[in-house]
Amino acid sequence: MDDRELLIRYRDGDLSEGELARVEERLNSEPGLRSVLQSLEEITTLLEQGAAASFEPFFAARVAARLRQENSLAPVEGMYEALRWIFARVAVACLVVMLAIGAYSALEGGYGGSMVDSVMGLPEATLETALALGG
Amino acid sequence: MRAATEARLAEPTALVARPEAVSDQVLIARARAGDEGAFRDLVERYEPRVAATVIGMLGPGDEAEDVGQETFIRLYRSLDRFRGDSSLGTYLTRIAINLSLTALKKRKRRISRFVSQGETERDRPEASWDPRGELERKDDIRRVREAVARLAPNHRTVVVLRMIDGYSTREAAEILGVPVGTVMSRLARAMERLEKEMKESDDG
Repeated sequence: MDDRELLIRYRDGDLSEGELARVEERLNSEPGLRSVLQSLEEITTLLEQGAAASFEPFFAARVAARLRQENSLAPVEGMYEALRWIFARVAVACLVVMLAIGAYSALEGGYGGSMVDSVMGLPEATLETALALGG
Repeated sequence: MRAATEARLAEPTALVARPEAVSDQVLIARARAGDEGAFRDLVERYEPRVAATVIGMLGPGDEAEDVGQETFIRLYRSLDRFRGDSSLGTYLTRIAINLSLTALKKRKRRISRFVSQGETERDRPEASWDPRGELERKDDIRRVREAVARLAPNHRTVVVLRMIDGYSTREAAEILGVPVGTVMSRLARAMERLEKEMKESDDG
């Protein structure tokens, strides 16, 4: 423990009788230690005197207003949450339907030549089919 | 010292006098039941303590005001979970300290490019600091506040808790969740730094 820690405990009244006697003896004989104690007390006093005791006036009213504002926003946030919940499930359902249709198309066959064409349900794209589509 | 500080912090600052006889527990119960007035009473009762902590950590200004408000908003949100294991004042101080440290981290990221020159001149030879008379007291208070603002966050925290809020070393250790010895050594280092900065300021 260094001298400052010792002096802080001295100021706090947190020393044993033996420690207290030794510190007081040192304070009597060591001007340097007395100077450290004086600085410690002076800075402590300045800190205490400089402590802010309040925010700007009407702080409690501003807290209450902010609380009301945040509470009034809560239902909107709840709506966003609900929409997000619904969207996630609708998106998954759509994906499942698309996969099911793709699988059905691929298994049924009768569409284009490639696997992709089959999954997408696209007809075979040849000049003949194009002319047939054009009538 | 603790008693004097508590007495100072307990001074009513609101324009309207509030019945201090109503206990925190009663006000908390009413606030839980949706009584906005009860919560407002709690805010007014603990504003001095939270202001001392937050302004001690961040200095006066919009940032401190915002952190102060957020401290009470967090309290409101956690009213149902507050079991009273620690006093409401200690609970609020813990929230205020954590929010202040977060604000300091954000501030550091924001202004890291603009390091003040003062911080690069820390290792001057030690000189004797001569405390001034009453007429220059305000200037000394301003200088010591500025010196506190230059302390590392973990040192600033113990100075605010011990020297401004008036908590004991043991209480400060509990709030911060660190050993008593750590609080004591940080405090000693912080006070040494403050003394040095005051001397440098006097010399400059």
